[in-house]
Amino acid sequence: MTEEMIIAGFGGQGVLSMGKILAYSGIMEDKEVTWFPSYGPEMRGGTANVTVILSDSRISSPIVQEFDTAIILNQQSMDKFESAVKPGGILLYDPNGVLTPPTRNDINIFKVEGTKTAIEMGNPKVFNMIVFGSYLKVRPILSLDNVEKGLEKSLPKRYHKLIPLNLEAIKKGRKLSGFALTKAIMNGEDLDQDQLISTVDREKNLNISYKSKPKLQEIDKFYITEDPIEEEKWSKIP
Amino acid sequence: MGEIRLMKGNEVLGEAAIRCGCDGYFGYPITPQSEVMETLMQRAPWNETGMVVLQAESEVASINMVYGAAGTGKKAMTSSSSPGISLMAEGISYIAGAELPCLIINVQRGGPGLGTIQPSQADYFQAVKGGGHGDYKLIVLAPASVQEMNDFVDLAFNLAFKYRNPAMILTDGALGQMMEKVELADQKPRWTDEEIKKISGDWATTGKPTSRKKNVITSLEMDSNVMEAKNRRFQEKYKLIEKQETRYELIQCDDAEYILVAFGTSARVCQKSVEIARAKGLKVGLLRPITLFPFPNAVIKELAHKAKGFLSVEMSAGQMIEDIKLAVYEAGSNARVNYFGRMGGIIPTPGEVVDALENKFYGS
Repeated sequence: MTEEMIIAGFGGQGVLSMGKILAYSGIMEDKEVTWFPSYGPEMRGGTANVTVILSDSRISSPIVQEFDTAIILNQQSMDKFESAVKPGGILLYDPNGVLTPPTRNDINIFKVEGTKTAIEMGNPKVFNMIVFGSYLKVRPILSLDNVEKGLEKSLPKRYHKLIPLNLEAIKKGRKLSGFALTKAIMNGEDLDQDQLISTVDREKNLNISYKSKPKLQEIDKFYITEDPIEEEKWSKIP
Repeated sequence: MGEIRLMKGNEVLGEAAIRCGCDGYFGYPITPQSEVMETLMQRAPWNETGMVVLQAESEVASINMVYGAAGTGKKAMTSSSSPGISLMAEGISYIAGAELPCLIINVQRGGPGLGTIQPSQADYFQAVKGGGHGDYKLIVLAPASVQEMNDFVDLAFNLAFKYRNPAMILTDGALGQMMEKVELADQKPRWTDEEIKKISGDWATTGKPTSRKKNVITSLEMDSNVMEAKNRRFQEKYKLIEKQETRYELIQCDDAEYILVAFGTSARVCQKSVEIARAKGLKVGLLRPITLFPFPNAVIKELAHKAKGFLSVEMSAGQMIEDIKLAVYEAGSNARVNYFGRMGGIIPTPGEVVDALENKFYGS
């Protein structure tokens, strides 16, 4: 398994820290990790992005041309990175910062209402963790235990009291309904729940073709292949 | 197994210095390596191991503090980025002339001049061909991962003391700013005064007892005959280092028709390029020099008889290619040697390297 991803948004949106939590959780999962940020003047108020690579084997280039996954938190990043997702890859975005939604029809696009949900939770700061949660649902590559350990490791001790809040936000993100545009939907084909399972189950095959009738639809819930033990653990978070 | 952490390359350099029992760090901040001193200051090793961490008033001052500390047989180091290393050039030459072991870290950025703060490898010549004045060589190590950033600090000190020669870790802003999983070494105690006397007592200024002659540390010698003899001895030492300390890594070179040669960040990029090229059915391998001085001439000579060509992949305008050409020439081989690189703070992408390879060797 190798997951090459980019997280991009404004400085201050928690882009780098989301990457750090992901990387630390990856270490807990005994994976090789690389976290490569944009640095320099662009960090100051402008756009910030970080490439995170998780792999079971030695990681080669930190410079990635085509990403398996892109998490996009503002319009500038959407303009820059929508085209950089591998065909069949995943793009998650928060519509709060994105005015022009993505249009590609050969990737799996997930709209995550992170900011909106965070405001509903009464803590807008955790919106990045909500998006992170949705990512973990779509790409279940990390277990709750390891995400929790990852949070512990990447947050300074004085912020450890915030771990439950962060986990709650991640859990909210996992439960979020979303809007999936796949090649099939854009082609106007219908999408039933079983097929959706396959579209997000990347280990099996992302690029599946649909045969049923055309339709563009909003999906209330994501169903993906779930690990029952893992789901039970998540359900225990208050 | 040592402690596992997620750390930036720069942070690891500081942490590894403490853990290998370094006695003193003297530096002046510059992007993209400021985290080295920041980490050291935050860790406050003077409380734990007694290591001195000092922010000097300039790079010139830092390298001369290293000169002084190294003269006492202590493990002394500094770090900077390209323009700062240029400022240190005089001091480095003096240290090499006085044959003092120490560690200098260059986290390179794009030049010339103030250039950019983005990563570069354009200080290759400066690191391996001198940089300062006079006929001297540094032992130059080029890490390609955060783990190697950790491992090479201790290795550099070991080599420096083994040969009484300054060692350099030549890395770049990308590796400095990148975080990876790293297994840290256990804390080694600093050398005691007795140990220093045992290891370096025959040259270090450790306080003269009546039982021995005065140890004098200087690079100055007014008698040209003596100076020439000293130079000859240096050259012998550099030859011995070439013979004993050359390090490199070969990736899929056994059946390779064409070989990429790259170090540090470019080597990481090239690893991916090899994967892409192999998937296209191109027989491509990678030679990654780990020591830049001594340069892995011998292995290039060997490969030059098997492979059809070499591509030097650099984040500079064609520097390392000169050393590759020299080795191929010495081998009497007709293998072609080409260059591909980016400059000014741009890192080549794996795809670009494969395109260059195809254009230059496969004629597509």
